[in-house]
Amino acid sequence: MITIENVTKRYDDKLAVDQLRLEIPRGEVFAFLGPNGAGKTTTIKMMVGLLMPDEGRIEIDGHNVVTDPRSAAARIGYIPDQPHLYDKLTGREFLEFMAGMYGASEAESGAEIARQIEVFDLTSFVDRLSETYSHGMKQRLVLAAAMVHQPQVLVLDEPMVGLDPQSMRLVKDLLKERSAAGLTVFMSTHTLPLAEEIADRIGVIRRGELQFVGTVEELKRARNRHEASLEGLFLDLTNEDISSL
Amino acid sequence: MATSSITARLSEAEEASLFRTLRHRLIRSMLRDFLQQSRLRVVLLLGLTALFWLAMFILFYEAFALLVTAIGHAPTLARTVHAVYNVFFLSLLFMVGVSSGILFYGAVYKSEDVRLLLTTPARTSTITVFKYQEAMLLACWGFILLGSPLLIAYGIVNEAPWHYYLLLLPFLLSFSAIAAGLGVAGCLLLMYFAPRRRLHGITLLAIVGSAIACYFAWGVLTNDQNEMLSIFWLQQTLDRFQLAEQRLLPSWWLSTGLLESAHSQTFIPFESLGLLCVLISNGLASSLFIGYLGSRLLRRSYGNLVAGPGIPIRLQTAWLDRAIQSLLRPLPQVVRLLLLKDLRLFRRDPLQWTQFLLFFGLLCLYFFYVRRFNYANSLIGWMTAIGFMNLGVVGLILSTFTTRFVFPMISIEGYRFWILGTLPIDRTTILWSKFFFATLVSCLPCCVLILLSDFALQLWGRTPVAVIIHQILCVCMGFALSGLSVGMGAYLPNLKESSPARVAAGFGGTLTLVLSAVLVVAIVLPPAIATYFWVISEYGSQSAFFSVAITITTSILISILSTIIPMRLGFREFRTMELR
Repeated sequence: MITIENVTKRYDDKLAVDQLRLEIPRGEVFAFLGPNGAGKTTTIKMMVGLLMPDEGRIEIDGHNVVTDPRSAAARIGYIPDQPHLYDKLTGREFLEFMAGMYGASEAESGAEIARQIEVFDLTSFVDRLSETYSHGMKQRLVLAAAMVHQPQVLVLDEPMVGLDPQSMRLVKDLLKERSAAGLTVFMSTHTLPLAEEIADRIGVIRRGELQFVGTVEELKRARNRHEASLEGLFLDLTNEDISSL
Repeated sequence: MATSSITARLSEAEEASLFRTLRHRLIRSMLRDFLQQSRLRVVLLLGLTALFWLAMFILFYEAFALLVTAIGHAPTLARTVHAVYNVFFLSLLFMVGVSSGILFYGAVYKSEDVRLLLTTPARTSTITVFKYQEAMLLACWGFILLGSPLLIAYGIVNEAPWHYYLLLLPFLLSFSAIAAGLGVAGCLLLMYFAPRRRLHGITLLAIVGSAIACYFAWGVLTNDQNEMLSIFWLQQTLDRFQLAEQRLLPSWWLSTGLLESAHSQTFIPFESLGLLCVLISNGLASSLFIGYLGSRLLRRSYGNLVAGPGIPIRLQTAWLDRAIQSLLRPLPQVVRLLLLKDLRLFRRDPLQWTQFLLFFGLLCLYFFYVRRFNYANSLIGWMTAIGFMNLGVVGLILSTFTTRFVFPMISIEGYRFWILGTLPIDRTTILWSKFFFATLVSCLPCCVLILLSDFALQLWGRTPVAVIIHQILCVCMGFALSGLSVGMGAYLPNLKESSPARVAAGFGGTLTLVLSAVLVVAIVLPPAIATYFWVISEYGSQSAFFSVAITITTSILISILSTIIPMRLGFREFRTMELR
């Protein structure tokens, strides 16, 4: 469902992502881990079309994000790390706008919007201007907006930041349920227990280079630390250079 | 424990010194950033600012020279200039005050740094004064840019002594401190007593401002039109301006102090210095008062704004959305949704629509004024010339409108660019929708205003062809200025800036403003000259007719090219625009 092949991205002289290769099949929950500045958000922005790869190819369900961006975008739902919204639109107006932009008719979008409002418990604030929302409220609204066109791929950049425990539980259950129904989930996160709990596979990136791809169990075997937590393994993997100095 | 005791020992002076260091560092890095831009960009920006200043200076110089020649009588001339200065500086007192209040609101209640500063042991009075000074500096640069060519031109025409020029800056700065103080105090009080009613506060302020403007305008309009521009008319008009001559107004201290200095016969202008002292002491008192208000109100008003229920959308406005939706129904769904979004954002932001109303309200007032003249016996050529002059004025005002509101439309998507950037639509559609939006809101009011102007000039009955030409050129200007602003906005965006005013004041905005002004002249002037000669030949001259046809065709071509070229540049940039 998601193919990332030899993708490289530079910011001036800095190499942000270096020859990244990933293949994520349909219905998989993939957690992308790495320290700050490792290249996670850059990879995600290239997947959703906000950045162009300097080299390599990214495909979503066989559609190249550079040469066929509209077809690729139509299959993606994106939740950014910072949910900046139009302050002077209400949550409902924002949902209507997003649904309409994905081609849904008013009748179709009306029912789906009502469903998402209920799922993400937006009723109490959805008719207020979004300038009055808390971070968590905005995050829930953005999650609803990403789901309103029923995407095949959900790309999440730090989805749990700002969410209360109930909302976190809701998101976890939703991701599990939807991935079981065929939704592919690609998320970057620093919340390692989340990755451990719901991800089918994890990828660890550091300084733009992919360090590991596989299941948590495979990582334990590879590092020969069968009792270690994902946190311990992650720190072990990402601090290797420092400890070897 | 040790850390808190060290912090607690900071005196007010030490704290202020820390904030000064912070400001110096911020200014230094801002200047470094500015100078690190391409040399062409820096030179162009400085050059355009200098050009603007020079143009204003020449305009004011010629106006004062004309006034000296036309009035001749020295006491009447002095009284006239004093009255004009009083009204001019009173308007600026209001404008600098309002600008400072708005800037202070943005810098305090909408900024990340005050959120952080309020969690530190810094005194709220120091934070408030720090932000007040910032708002004042940002608000007064435009005032100084506009005021300095006026005052220097006056000094040169009247052969003012050296101390006049030396005192200009202290006078302007101390006046700005008072004006900004009033605006900031108003903002603090509004946010303390009615944080949920700030929109009503701004509306009230707009009404008060308009009422004052109408009062002065009425003073001119209600004079006997048959004696227009006579000495009696002038006397009568000056009498109507007496409201601005109240001696308790800072604008009176400023204008009187400057004029005293300009006409002082002594080596040291004691009266002028006295008034400067009054201004400086009031400016300093403003700073103290703002500090006091800040210490009492800032934390509470900040809390009042953050806490409390959100503002629900009023159901009464839903009919407007439905009406707009019906109007836009023939357009493709994507374009319709984008237009509706932009219209909603515009309608719900009072800072945007109040300035829009102000622009076009002033134009209506001007046309009402034009209507007061009696044209029945005027020469048709003269009326045609006035008609085209009105068209030019509308075009120039439209150019400031498109630069101020349309140019920043792509930039202010900024942090929200993820929304549009990830949608399954061609990015050119986004630009086209912005172009349609801009053309719609530009062409409609301008065509109506020009029709009003032509009606007031009684052109429809006497030379209907001029009315048709005006409408054609108006549409040309609407398309050209919208295309230029949307295209340049996409070609030279500033995605890091959330304030449209700051985006418009940057390099791209300044360049667009200058190009827009050039465009207006290029579209209006050649047909104006050709039509004038055609009309005074009583439509008999074949060559004049061909000139009209050629110049109008050229204007249409200019309009098409200035829509297409910037839009193509914008498309090229926008298609590959990245959001880091």
